[in-house]
Amino acid sequence: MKETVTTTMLTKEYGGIECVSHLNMNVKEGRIYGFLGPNGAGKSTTLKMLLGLVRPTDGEITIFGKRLTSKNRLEILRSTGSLIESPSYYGHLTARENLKIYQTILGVPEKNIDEVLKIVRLDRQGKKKTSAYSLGMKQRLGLASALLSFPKLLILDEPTNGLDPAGIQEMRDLICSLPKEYGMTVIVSSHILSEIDQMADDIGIIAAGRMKYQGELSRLHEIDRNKSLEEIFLDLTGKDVSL
Amino acid sequence: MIKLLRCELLKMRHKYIFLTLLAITAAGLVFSLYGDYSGEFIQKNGWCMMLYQLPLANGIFFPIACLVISSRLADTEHKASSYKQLFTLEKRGRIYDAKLMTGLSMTLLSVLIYWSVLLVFGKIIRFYGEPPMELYLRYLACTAAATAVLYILQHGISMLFKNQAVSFFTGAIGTFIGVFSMFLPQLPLLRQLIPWGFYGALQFMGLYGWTSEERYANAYLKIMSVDPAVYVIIAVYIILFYALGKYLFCRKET
Amino acid sequence: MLLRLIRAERMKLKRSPVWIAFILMPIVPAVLGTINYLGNIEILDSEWYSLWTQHTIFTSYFFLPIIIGIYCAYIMRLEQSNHNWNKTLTMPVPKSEIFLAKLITATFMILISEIWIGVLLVISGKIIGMTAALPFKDIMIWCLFGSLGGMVMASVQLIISMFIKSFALPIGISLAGGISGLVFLAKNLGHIWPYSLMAYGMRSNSPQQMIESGYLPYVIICITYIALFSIAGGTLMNRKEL
Repeated sequence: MKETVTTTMLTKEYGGIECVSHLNMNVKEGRIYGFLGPNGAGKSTTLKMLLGLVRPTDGEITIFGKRLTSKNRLEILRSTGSLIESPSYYGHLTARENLKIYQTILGVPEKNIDEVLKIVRLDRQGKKKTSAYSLGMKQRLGLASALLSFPKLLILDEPTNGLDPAGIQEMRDLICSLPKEYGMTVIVSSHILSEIDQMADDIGIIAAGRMKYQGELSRLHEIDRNKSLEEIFLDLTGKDVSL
Repeated sequence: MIKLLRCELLKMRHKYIFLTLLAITAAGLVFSLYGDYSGEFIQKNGWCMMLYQLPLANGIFFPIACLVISSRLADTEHKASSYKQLFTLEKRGRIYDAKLMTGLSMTLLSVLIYWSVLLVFGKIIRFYGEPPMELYLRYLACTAAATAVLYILQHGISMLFKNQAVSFFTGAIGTFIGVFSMFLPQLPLLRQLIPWGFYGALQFMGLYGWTSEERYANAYLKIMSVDPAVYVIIAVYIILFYALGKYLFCRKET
Repeated sequence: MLLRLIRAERMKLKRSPVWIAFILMPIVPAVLGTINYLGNIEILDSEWYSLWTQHTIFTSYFFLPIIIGIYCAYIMRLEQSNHNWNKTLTMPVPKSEIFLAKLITATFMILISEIWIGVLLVISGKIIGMTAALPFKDIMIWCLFGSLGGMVMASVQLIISMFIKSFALPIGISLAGGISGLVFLAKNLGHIWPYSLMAYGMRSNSPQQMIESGYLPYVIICITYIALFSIAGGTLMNRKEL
């Protein structure tokens, strides 16, 4: 199976402290990769490095079989969609106007806007300004703009943040359908195991900047059959680390 | 209230607000005092001449100080959307007052600093005679009053509008009109009614007999009468802006 | 690509009434400056040129710099709020072009307000029955050169606003810049200091003399500064970490 994203010995230091340390990550094409770890484990920093928003201190990143450099960064970004940290939005504009900005820059057909708005079910919001949106709706808008160009690789950082239970379920179903429907590879991060458990094919568990486990989700159960997944996760990440 | 004021001071940490204020005051001083002091007329009438010349610089720099400080204090909360949280802890009106008192006292302090530097400067440059303290105290009171009106107004706008561009544009355009009003003796109402024009409206030192050909040959300085209505208008504005701003802020939905 | 980015920038500014300030602000000196002109008509005997001085003296030193500062701060503020940098900087476009698109957006507004200042001069001159021939060519040059100098200022202000997250501070700097421009003009260095180029180009102090340094050197200096600051802005944006 081809690998869409690999990192080798990826490291990021902030003021001498390694926030991400010698991370080797393998994301296979057409799969959903769950990136799991407690708050502050280095998930967002890693994902930002994949997008070129943060420069690695050391190590390499390969995406679509090409080594990420400042030269081919744009080419890679063209086939990548992302939602990092919290959704980005211009509060004084409507959802459609927000998407229109990105559609203009990306140069994709205008009908994509309607399509993604329908997918995230924001198509009936009309003239409502995004600053008046609930957190869940902003999150959906963020997903819509990540999907706008129907990219080959989708990077979602805690996409279920702020969603209600029904919204979480919906988001989960949507993410699960993306590889089949559009052939996307999805990296989705979370600090809640049960959420990843229901979506991911493969997972990577990160704690204190280091990869603790990587592989198929089903194999994680086999580490210790007497323990629940939750317990295994806590063993790997260290119990004293807050979730 | 003391507690709230202390909170305000805590929030100002790492924001260099007072430093910003000092920088603006310093810029104002440089602008006010930069010039040629060698002429005989200026040497002799230096103390009074300053009182004649300063209102213009004051009308540029103190309005900007009010604008910048009120906006920065209010923006701290707007940006962190922390009004929502504050309102659950404390009455809106008191938050409004605490911020107003913090900013206003700092701004008035900078007026005092500005004024003291003027006196020191005059001594250093050796203006003739002792400074006419009575006039200088009057000048201090006038400048402080005009600045207080503006601060209360700008505070209201900064607190009410989340988008700080609103308060900046109001302040910039107001200052602009204010500066112009000082050059329009034929339109006394303009500077008496526009809050930014009070620096000019309260000016009590006049220069007479100056012409572009003879320069200071026949010039003399004289104390002018200030329309007493101006004092009333200032008092009314202070009450009006304070009451209106607080009322609207308390009614505002977050 | 750049065109698309500029269109995107314009969309971002939709429904922000910030541009109104550029329209309102020049009306103040137009009205009050004309009144002042009429009040001192016996000293101000250079017709259109005197009127131009009355209209632009405070504008070019203080108020246009502040308005440019506010506009640039606002453009950057849009990105700084609600995590918009994250999205903007992962668009598949060179970061230097993002900076350039913002600069062109700001310059467009400066140009509009300069043209508006020129139009207001003509209107108020006609209203008060100015009899001398309209120095159309001069007005055009003042406005164009003012815009060019304003663009230099905008390129500096955009860089400053990109790094300083506060809204007020960059605007304070633009005011300080305007004052520094005044000082440099007084020292006859107005033609080389970035913050005096706008006032220098608008000739509000001595409209009858054309630029001592000549047209071409002025344009070259402006363009050099713009290129320099754009490269710096693009590079700094490239190095920006979120």
